[in-house]
Amino acid sequence: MENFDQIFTLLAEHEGISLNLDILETGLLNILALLAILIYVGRDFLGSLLETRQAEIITAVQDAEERLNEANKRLAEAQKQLTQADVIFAQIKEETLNTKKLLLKADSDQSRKDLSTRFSRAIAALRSKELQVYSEIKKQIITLVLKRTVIRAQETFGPKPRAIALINETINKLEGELL
Amino acid sequence: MFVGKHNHKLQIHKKIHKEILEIELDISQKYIDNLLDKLTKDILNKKEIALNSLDTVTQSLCTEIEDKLSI
Repeated sequence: MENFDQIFTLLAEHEGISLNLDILETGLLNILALLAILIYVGRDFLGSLLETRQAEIITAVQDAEERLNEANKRLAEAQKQLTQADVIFAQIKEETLNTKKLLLKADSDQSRKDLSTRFSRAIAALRSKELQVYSEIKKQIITLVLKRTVIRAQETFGPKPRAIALINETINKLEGELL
Repeated sequence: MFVGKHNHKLQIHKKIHKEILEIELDISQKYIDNLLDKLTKDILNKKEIALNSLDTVTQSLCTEIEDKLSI
């Protein structure tokens, strides 16, 4: 702390900072000589150090290049696998679509058959009903006509046995024709 | 996994489609039943009309029979 204070004291005494151009006083020759000795002595050591460092850097660059090449190869492989996966995906998608179409078509066909069967049953039921009604009306007509004819015949011929036999015979004949 | 997912979706689509078809079939069956009912009623009405008008319809037939019997 005292040295620090002395620096300011010296600065104050010499009235500011100035450049000292006296070579002997500043020790520039000593410094240059020291530098020359250092360079001369440490040249071999620095050379080998730099060569080692250069070799390490070259090795590191070569490693980096190898890793880059490896990474490029893996990238190419990955892209190839991606392309193959895309192709497989497209194939699966198409197959799925075809399967879906087939399944849905099968269901639709089955439903169409069911519907056709139901319509056929309905038509058959309707025709059966028509035939039944037609048969009932026909039966009713025959019954009515025969009753009327019998009544009319009885009124005309009276209770005579021969007439009754004739009427029955004729009615039977007519019944056969009508039915 | 991808194929399994697609199969699952396919099953779901199939189920939905089948349900839709079943609904359509039910609707069609109801339509058929209604139509059949309507036609049956129409036939029965015509039957009633025919039976009620048998007196006049059979008159000509009776006359023909009576002519054949000469009565």
